[in-house]
Amino acid sequence: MNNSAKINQEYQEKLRLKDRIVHYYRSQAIKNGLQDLTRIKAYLPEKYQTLHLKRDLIFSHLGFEAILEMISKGKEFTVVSGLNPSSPLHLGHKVLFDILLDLQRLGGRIFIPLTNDESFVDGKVGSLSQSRKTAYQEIIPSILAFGFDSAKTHLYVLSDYPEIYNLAMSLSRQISIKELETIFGNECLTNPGQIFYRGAVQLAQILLPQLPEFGGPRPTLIPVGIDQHPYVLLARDIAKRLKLMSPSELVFKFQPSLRNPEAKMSGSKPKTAIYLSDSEETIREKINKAFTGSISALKAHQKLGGIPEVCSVFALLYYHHPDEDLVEKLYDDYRQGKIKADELKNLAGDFIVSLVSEHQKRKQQIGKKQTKKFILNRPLKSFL
Amino acid sequence: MSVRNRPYPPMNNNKRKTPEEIINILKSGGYCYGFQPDREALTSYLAACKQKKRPIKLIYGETYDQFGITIDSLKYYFFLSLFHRCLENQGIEVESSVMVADRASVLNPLVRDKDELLGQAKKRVAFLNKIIHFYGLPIKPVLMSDFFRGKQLQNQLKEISSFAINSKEALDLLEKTVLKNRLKQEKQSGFRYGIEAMVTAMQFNIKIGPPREQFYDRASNIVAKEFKQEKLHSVYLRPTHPLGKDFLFFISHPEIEEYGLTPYKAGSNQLQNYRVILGKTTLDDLKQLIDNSFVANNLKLANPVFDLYFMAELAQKLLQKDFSFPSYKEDLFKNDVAFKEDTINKLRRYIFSQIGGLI
Repeated sequence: MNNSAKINQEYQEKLRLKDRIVHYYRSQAIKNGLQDLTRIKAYLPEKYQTLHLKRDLIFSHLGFEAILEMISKGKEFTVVSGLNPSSPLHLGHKVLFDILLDLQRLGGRIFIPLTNDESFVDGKVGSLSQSRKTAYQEIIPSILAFGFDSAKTHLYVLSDYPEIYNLAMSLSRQISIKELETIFGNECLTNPGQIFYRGAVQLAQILLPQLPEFGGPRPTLIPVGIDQHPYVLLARDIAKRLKLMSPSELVFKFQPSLRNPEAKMSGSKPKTAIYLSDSEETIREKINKAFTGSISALKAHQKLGGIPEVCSVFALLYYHHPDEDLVEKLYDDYRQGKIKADELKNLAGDFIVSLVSEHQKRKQQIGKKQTKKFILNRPLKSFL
Repeated sequence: MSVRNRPYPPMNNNKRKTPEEIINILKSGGYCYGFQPDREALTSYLAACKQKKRPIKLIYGETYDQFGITIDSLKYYFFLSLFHRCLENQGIEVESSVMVADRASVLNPLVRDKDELLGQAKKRVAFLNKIIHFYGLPIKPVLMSDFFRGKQLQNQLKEISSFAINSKEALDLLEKTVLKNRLKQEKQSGFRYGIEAMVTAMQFNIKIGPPREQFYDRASNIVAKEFKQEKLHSVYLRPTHPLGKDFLFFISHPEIEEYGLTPYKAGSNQLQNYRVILGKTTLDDLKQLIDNSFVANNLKLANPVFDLYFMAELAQKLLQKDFSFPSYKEDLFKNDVAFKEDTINKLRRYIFSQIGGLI
């Protein structure tokens, strides 16, 4: 194969990759009966347009209208978003926390269950105590470093909030094993812990804020990646049966892995992720090795242009840089081949290093006293 | 007060435009929803009429309800008049009618006090005559009950009716003109309302109407083809949306957002409190409705305040004998507070203060 044929092949492969990525989200939305956000975005006033909506990083929804009604009336709504504390936070988690911060600004009361029980039953950690330790020492300070409002944010580590298991127990009779198997498949239900977690504990986390102890039924929003959609579907179904309000759902795109734009950044695969605890050297090294949307031959890149949609380096800027004009200009310049992959890596490196280092500084200032304000320990009696 | 004595300065932009130019302005002006069968067909039709000196009959038809006359009816009277004047400027002989559909207004079995409603038709015609006189409109009102009196039309109605209820294609379209909860009732009546609307429109060449009427008009053209009649052309204006609603209303009511309310029925979707009803809505009410209305920043989205602005500008043009169509861009809404104020001022000056005594 001659050089020109190789270049063409590389370019065509990246174009096909772009098509697959675009198709993936479209088909996921259709397959899961999710609704498009185009009309909502068209009508949504500028003050409610978050960065993730504007950039299509939130790509579909279920019942978001109920939340918009609360937002437009200046009323409070609930947001629930759990986190599996099996590894330190990375940029993929930051996408979620940025969304949560925007929702809090719009009137959301945020509940963040840290599911160390899930980490354990799924075999992601060696012991419950290990994941508990990670949650308190690493995850919670890192979450608080994002700047949540303590009056409107509730965190709890599941193993330290046994009340949730009482609620889960009372919900467990709402669903059969067969239903669970249909929703999650057998591969996710290999031990009794997984069955109890997926069939009841996860439900309890979603429905908890609708208990009388928290003010009773109210619109609840669950921002999730598409892989979490089955949990929301199940919760919507059970909420209806219990005459609670069906939770709404916003589905966001995952932060692409540094090595493969079709996969998500994963805490258990360090090469694919930039952790919020990474050093400058590590960050730059990871970015330098990341998959790009450029063709390897410089002249061909300048002629054909890059493909930002498949570029894990461009994604770092697209998912996190707040400057709309800059990101738009970079997109255009990169697509026209005016910016080389190395230049883009340097730009992304500088930006991410400064972002992570700021986060680390804020995290260091989080003390135990501050953490205490966020931890949920309200007793639950209404269903006992 | 005579229109000729109005103190406004004469405008000098009555330059004659070709049919193509007229239709292009309509297409890009920001107030037309679309054309039926399409823009090109309408342009060719107008050019052919001009060349062959064929007269054109324009129609706008409206039913009504017990809540009164909406300001949205004025939009259609004014638009029809301006379109008429533009074609006349081309040397085309034009006749424009406003069909007051008294028959159709009482067809719905759910309508109470049908006699009272039928009686209102005369009041509407009287009001329309005053509007015609005051703004100098080249249109004439026609009562549907009078229109259908002729035997020839009655026979045509029978023939078309028996064809349409056996045409799956036409029936599918007629079904789309009816709200789901009314479908059974319409089926039982053999889609009488829709078929009369079709037959009425088929007696004319170009129809002006709201977007939902495209389904009647498409059905009319299926029938026209079968009966070897000339095609009906239609121009649809932007849908009519309720005032006083925020952005969320349009997100939560996709059907109203897409096709709008019935412009000439104040009680459409039971939103009569969010409409401007002539003689009932005061200037203070109007101001409040406008102040509470969502103004989209995109001409393709629902924007009831823009609709009011448009009709006030048409009124201004007609009073000033400026028979050119306006054209709008999104810049108009950049400052929504100023835009709302401007709309209120224009409405007060060119509609409210003018027709206050006419109702």
